Amino acid sequence: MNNNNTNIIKDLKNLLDEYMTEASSGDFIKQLEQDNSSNINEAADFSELDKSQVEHEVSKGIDHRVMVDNLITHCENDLTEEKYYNLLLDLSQLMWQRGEVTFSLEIVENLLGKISSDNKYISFEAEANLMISKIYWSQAIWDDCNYYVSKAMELFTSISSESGIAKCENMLGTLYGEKGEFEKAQQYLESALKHLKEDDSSVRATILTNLGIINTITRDFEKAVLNYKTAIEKFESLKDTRRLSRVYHNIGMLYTRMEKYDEALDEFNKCISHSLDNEYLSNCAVAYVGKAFIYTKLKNSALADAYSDKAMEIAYKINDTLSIADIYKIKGMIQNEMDNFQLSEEFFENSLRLNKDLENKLNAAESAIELGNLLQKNKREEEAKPHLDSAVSYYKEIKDEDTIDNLLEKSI
Amino acid sequence: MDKFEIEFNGLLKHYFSDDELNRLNQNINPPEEGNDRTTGMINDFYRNQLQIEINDCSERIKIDRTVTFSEKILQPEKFYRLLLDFSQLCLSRGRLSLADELCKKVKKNCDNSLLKAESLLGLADVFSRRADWQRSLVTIEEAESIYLDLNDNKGLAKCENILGSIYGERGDLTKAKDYFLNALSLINPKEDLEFAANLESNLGIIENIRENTDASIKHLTSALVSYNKLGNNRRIAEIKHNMGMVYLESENYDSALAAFDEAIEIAKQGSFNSTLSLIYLGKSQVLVATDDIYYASEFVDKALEISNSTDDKLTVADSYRVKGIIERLGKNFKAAETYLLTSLRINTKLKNENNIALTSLELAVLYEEMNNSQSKQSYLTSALNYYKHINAFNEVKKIENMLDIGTA
Repeated sequence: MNNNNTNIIKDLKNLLDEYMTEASSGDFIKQLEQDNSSNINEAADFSELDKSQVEHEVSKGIDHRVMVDNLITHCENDLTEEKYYNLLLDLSQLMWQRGEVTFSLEIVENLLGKISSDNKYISFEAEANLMISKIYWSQAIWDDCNYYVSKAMELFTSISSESGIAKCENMLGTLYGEKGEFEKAQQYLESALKHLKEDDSSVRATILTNLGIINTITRDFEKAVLNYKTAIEKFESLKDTRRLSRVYHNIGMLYTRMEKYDEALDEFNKCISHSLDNEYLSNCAVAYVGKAFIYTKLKNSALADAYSDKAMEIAYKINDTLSIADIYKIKGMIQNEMDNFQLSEEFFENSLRLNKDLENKLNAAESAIELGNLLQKNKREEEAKPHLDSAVSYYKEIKDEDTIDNLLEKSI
Repeated sequence: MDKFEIEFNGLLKHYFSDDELNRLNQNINPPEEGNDRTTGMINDFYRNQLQIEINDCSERIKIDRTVTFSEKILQPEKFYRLLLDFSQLCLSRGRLSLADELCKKVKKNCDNSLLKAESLLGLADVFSRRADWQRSLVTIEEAESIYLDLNDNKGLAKCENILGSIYGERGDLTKAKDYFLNALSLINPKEDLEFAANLESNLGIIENIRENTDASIKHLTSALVSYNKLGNNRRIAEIKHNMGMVYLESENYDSALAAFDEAIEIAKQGSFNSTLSLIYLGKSQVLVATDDIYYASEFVDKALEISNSTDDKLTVADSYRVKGIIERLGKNFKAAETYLLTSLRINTKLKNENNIALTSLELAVLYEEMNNSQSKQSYLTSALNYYKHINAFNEVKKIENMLDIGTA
């Protein structure tokens, strides 16, 4: 165990001792000390591809920061104001793509500080607010995301920028989608499309991708495929590798939902190979989660564990708390498969708690089902019932009859 | 060229011609021989000091598991109190996002006014560590109004303490000192030994910047006695660092080095990453002063790496200043200028008057070596105004001497 681990356990133990008896905390601390997952993949036989993906070293980011900081300083006097502000937006976007979320925020806040009192630059101010909302969205900080996207919307409306309004509505659609409110999400996304002119290719493809996600969740697979196909064509013609990779990931999710796991793995691998090359960490995190999930379904605990660990490492670095909550669910499934029921229960509870904190209703329902099923398996029906009931009530809300039928069948 | 550089250059092509881009790349990518040589030359002791784990996600897993476990076992109020303690633990380890998450959970769900106020203070602390002064000030105001309703003097004193730190960080030393003294007057130091020591420590820092070495050491020593009594290693590491800074200012380099080494030992043991980046930066400055440039470079790079990962913008900006000095000593003037101007840009954005003056002074030294007397004069004058304002007579004298030489 490394020094960090020893320290954190010691500190947590000291704190818990102030709040509860040793009898209450003792067993728990012992569990914390045993790193139960560490030996799962020791003897596993991984393919070269899997090995290269889980062993990939994530960059520390500091070298990039120094280069970008120096550039920002250097260009302040070399470029016209307008060009300089555009550059700051581009750099913020670049750093965000690479998972440097705090630095990305710093750059765009720097821009906002320079222009916020100048009427000449309203469109930059709007774009900067939208960028900030995106940065908060990627960390599941919904209140701040909502605050900045509303500000951006106000500014774009004041200059009648239809494309800007569409981008804001797309962000709002994404925000509601993440919270599991799909009707609202779809309304925003469809309204966003109406604001666009034909030549807004990139924004249109982004919105179609997000509609594809909603179609997948609501099991309208045909529509999802159509939307993703159109998005791919547009991103390919724009040579936008990052967004293209994201569509591959989403197609992977679609196949996962359809339980076509081999096809799903192919799509996740396409996403990962493009994203690892370019260090698009956010794409990597979600695609690793996707692969880990499939490996749990294929009962390959070693690979599932290795991928969930790598996903955790990346999600932690980029503060993607939604993915962290999802990873706990997968870790719970892995431990369940290995008959470590206590640890499995704990991971599901972690996932459920975080998803509730993040107001992510769909993922909370998914975690509740896993926890409920585990408890049922262990003949703890009474404890299982409230979890399964809460999931059923959510799926009723979103009219997902298939899942409800499946759940009711199981509970009978 | 790695993929990042390819994409980065692709982006820059939208803004610059090929010629301009070549020149630009020379300016923003300083020569690296210094660093390469350093790695080979660094001794075991220093290597050991620099070996730390920064992005270890297993910490988050353990904290998450403990939070979930505690929520099931504890009564709500006790649970929320524990979350606030966890958030403090996260802060000391530089995990600002997690601390932020925990404080927000308390703020959103807890009905107890006192705990809500404490969560607001926790958030204010997170914001101020990110140098988001405006948000921190607004949040402190919210906490303050709850403490006022509750007639809670200790709570009010905690608000004053963070306010003092914010003004101190921005270089308004008079205001900072007033807040710290006011906080001290609101508590009973014998009953609140740790909090009183925190205030003493903060006063010690202010006195050091004002060049009152004896007063500074007196405050810091008094704080150290209390922390030793309480066995609070994190704070002990901080005090050792602050003492190191005092010795550095008074050019007592051996004592400074000894203080920093002690501090590193303690901070590494406890994984106090936020403090560790400051200590590395302090040590790198001693090494610059004693002409151990290669080692200085390693330590400042590590300080930069940690402060980037903990979102400690003030330390990032100050690390660029030290990197600028190192490049100047290596006669890489262009790179030195870029680093110093970067430090100045960030410090100006953060409104950190003290560090703006420090960096301006370094720019003046650089321009003197580059025979650019106009820029030199301008930066000296700007630094002089600040040091006169805070009555730092030694710095004023030093600058006035430099101005004389320049005009002679």
